[in-house]
Amino acid sequence: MTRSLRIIWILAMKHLRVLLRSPATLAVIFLPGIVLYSIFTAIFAGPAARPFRVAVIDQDESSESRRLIAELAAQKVRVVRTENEAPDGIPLTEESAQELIRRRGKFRVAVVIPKGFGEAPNALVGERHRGVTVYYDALEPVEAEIFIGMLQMAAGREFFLKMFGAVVGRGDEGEAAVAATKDAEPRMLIKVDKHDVVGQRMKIASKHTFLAGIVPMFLLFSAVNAARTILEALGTGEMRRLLAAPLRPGHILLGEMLFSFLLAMMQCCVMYFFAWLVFGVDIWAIAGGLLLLTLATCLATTGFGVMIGSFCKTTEQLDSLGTMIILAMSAIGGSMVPRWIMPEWMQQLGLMTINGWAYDGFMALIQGFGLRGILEECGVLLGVSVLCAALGCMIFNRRLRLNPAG
Amino acid sequence: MAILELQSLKKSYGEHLAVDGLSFSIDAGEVFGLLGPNGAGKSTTINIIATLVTPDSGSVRVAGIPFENEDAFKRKLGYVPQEVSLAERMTARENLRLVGKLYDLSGGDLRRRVDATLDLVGLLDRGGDLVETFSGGMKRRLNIAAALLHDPILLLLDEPTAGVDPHARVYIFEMVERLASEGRAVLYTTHYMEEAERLCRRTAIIDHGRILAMGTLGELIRRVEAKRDMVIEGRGLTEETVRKLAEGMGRIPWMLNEGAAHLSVAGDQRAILRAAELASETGIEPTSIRLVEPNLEMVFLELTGRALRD
Repeated sequence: MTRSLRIIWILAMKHLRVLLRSPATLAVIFLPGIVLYSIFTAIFAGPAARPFRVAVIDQDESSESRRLIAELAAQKVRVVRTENEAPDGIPLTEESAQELIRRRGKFRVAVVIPKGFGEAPNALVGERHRGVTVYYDALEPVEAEIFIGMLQMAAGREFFLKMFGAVVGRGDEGEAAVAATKDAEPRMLIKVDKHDVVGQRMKIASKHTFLAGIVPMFLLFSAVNAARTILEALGTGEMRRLLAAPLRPGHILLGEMLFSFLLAMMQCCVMYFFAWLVFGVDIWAIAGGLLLLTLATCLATTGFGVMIGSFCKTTEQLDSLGTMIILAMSAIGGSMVPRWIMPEWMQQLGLMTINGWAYDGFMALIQGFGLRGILEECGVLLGVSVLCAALGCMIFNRRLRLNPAG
Repeated sequence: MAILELQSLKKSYGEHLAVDGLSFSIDAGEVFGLLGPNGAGKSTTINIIATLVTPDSGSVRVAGIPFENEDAFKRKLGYVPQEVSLAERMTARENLRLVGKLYDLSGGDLRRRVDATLDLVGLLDRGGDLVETFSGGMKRRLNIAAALLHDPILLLLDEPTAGVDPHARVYIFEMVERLASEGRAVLYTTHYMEEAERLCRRTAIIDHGRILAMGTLGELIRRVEAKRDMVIEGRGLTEETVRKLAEGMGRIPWMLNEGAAHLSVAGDQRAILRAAELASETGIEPTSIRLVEPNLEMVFLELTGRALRD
């Protein structure tokens, strides 16, 4: 071990020793993340709390298919036709809809109405009826069943219109018609070719989503808290004493970064272990990727902490500015609200944050993309780390040059 | 033998010249006082010697080692910052061990030095206690101990008695005297004249980054031996009335300190009569006017035109 590494290690261990002797600070660092994660996961557990959105790909574009879609919409299904949900957005295709289910968790169900559907819109016309294809999230089969039921009800309404020429309105009459279709085994009206997204597992349960979001948020808070040691050292004369010893400003900053990084790693371990123990998050199945992502995320948050710590003049400034920036990043980066329910533009904006990349990386791991699937996220996080740390070192050195008392 | 040598040291921050061609040296076993009001350039000078600030020009040597040879230079000096710079949640021994490791001490050598240093500052029996349980004076002593652990030949003490009770102050004085008697050079900055008078073999009075006077206490006082400190006590002593009085007596240096007016006058009893006359005209009601033998405070007043604590 070279002298520099030894000095950095000594300084980091000093910070760690001081921290470990403060139970109150330890509680503040470790408990809020666990508590918040538990609360969010409990509140948002299960599919009921999520909006029921369905991707609809109409390859037929016939009056029959359009009528069916209109009926679905009338049943409070949120019909989505374009990738970003804008009217003039890129139209969804059979492939892109599957991809959105698989990768982003934007939908849990997609229906494809094939060409020629309008010529034989229900099963009563016999073999010519081609039916529709439904893709669904393999982990949410109940939602697929609910949708198929709604689809049959929509088709049943169509059927009554055609057969009896009756205009079925809303209200009691409509309800009666729906009830009638139910009794008449409505599944038979439209043939459904069901596909789960085989081999492209999708787990976006709240226990994963909130773990992906809350961990980076609390890492950022811890990093800012660790950066206080820089300002406190400047304020108490400790920095001058250290600088008068045979070491360089870089040693002090790297010692502080190592401390912050180790603290972040400890925090991640505690959070992931808790999630595994209490909520059954299968961290062991993704251990390799999770380790890489955790390393990258911890380095990024550490770099952020050092940068903001070097930039702020006082601890009060650090607290207020740090909290403001972290809350803003957390809000748009998926730490408070899952990224997949955000509008497209906000999801893009979220990629300006450490939280956003860490969230996407974790979700990619949960979805089974493995190490290769998170290389981009890890690369960006490492880049952020290097950039922030370099900027922090530059500001810190400049400050010390101008005034060693800070 | 000179331990510290400063030669034509200059440092400016933008337009402000903080240190303007400072030169002095300190011998082995000497306590050297650096006196000056706030902003005089004391801190910048100390910071340059402690390698915290790079000078624009000039040279600094410790035991012949130039400060450009930073690593070897730093190992020769011990720096005691004005603030207590210790980890409160670490024990005294842990704090010293940490400092020792930064100076590459380890194992038995480190243990021995930690114990010896704790003994030197009278804290050997409290070595295992957390610093947060220490009194202010004990923290100050430990603060000094941290600068002594690596056995430096030059000690930089930046107002080491600020905020310390009288008993602890005396302890620190004795410690500084002991360190000097062991052959160390000590650079001591203070606001307290009596500290400089007691401890320092030589003192430099510095203002606006320049040395106004330097020498032993006797040499400095000889500069003003024809002068006396006229101390006026009474009612109506304000900045305005004392300034008027000083102007009336020929624009002589003055200051207000702890409710009394101090004027630097030529050592003559007639000055008392003149001051008494003028006092009533300026609105001062003196209860006593006396002449005091010159001291360092007066030298400072005479040289800088202001009190040390201004």
